[in-house]
Amino acid sequence: MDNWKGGSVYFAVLGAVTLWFGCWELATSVGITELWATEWFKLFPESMDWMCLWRGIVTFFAGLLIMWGAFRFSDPEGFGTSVIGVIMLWILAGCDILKMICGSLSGQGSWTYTLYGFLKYYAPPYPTATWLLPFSLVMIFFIVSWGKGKEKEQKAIIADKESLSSTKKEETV
Amino acid sequence: MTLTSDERWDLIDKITEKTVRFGKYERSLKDIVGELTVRPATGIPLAIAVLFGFFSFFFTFGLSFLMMLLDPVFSKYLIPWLVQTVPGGGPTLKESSLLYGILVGEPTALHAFEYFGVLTSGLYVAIGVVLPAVFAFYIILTILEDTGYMPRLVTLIDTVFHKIGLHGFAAVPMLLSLGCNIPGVEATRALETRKQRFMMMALLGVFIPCGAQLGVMLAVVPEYVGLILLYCIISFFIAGFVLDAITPGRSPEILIDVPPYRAPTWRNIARKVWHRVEGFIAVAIPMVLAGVLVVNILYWVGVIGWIGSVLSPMFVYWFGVPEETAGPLVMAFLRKDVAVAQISAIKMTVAQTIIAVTLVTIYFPCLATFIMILKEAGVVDLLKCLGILIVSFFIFGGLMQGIVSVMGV
Repeated sequence: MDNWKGGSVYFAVLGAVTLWFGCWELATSVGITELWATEWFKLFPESMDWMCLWRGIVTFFAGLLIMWGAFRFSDPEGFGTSVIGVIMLWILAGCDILKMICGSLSGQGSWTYTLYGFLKYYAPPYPTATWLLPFSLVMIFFIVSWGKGKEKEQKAIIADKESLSSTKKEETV
Repeated sequence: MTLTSDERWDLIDKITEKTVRFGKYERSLKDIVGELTVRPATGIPLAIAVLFGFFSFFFTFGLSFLMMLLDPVFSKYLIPWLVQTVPGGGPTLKESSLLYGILVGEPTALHAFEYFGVLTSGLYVAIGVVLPAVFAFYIILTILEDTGYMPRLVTLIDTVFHKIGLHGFAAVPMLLSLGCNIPGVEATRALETRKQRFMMMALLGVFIPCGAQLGVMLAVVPEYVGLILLYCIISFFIAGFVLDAITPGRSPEILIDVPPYRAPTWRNIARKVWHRVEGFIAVAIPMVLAGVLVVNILYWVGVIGWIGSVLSPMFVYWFGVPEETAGPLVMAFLRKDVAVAQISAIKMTVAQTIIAVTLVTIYFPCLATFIMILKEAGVVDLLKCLGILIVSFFIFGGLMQGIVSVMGV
């Protein structure tokens, strides 16, 4: 149960951070704040276009759902809500990674591949969702734990039933 | 051997005892996530994310990656070889033979889009642009279908579609049409009444750009694809609202079975994608080549120039685009994607390009879709669709010019 309390705090923090990034992406995509990038981080994987606003909306809601679910993490519906939020984050990160892979393999329409040309697509700066991806992978541990917990409960119920029926049989004999 | 009723019940009890395991039913995580996916508070954000992933995959894998891999085949090898090999070529199109003009097109063109020959631009658009887009689209659509997400999406947007007299199933032809309008029209069979089928066909034909067209739009006006799509979606619902009010017939409720989430099998996905792409190759690619051929002949005999001069006042004053756009609009009747590609070769301002691409989008569906509507709905409904097209074309085309002017593009 301690794990679940820890998970609740962890995902509340992750949700808050994601939500903050979502607000930032939304503000930038509608022109309230300037586009910001460093050597290691960039807000959007693509140049500013209509997909940035869409991405901002997804990040915002992902953060909101992760945080919302984290407040009642041990409850199945709360946990499910956090899982949905994390899946949304995985969709964004998956798109970013696909972009890197496709960019590195396409050879920019020339079919001439160099090691530098290939590797440069995997080099930083990375966008928001890619940075958040490793932190969100912790959810896999909770999904597996949740599944195992349910399996144990189910086995215990079956074992109880079976022992009950065998006792009845013995009594009958 | 005949069993009495009691003996039968005893036998049933014995079999049940051996085969059935009793336990308390607990919802699995898949069940919980499945339920949350159809609730608006959690389902709509996930739908926004899934559609983002859908289009991101479509643009990244189909239009960027596959197109870039195929581009050198045409621009570096096939087209230069054709320009040199086909007999009758001159330094310019006017000095070339008729056969050369039809097969290769403009020998001084700088990009594969600009040759307009059957074997150059025709093959490039069909195989280098359209096919990758459609292939990527069908992969992601099939994955969504096989995981069990599509019925949930249908359930979620049911309320929105009810406002225009349709129901959630309308999302299926709508999404299919984003790949190709032909299967989209075919999928309208999932709708219950004649009214709903007619409405959906008319709306699909006018407002939903196909995958091929999206691909070319992205190549011609990448910064404004979002604006054009948003405009098309808003127009889709406005026109749908009006059509619902004026079309006689009923719009009944539906019951839908939502299956549990399942991991898709790659074999099934491969089979379904191949089946769909195969159908597309058989219908659309000959149509693209025939379209380029017909337009080339029309161009050579002067018909396109004549249409341009007749319709020029309307194009120039009502829509604000040059009179040369008449040619691509004729082409749009055969293949919309080729028409968008042709527009890229006309010198226009950014605002004019956006309007012209929007006009091609809301123009009547390509010939193949036209034939499909005729087959599915009959002549009367086809003529009604034509009426809706003409009205929509004027209203929404003119409105787009106003919006672009207000935005100061």
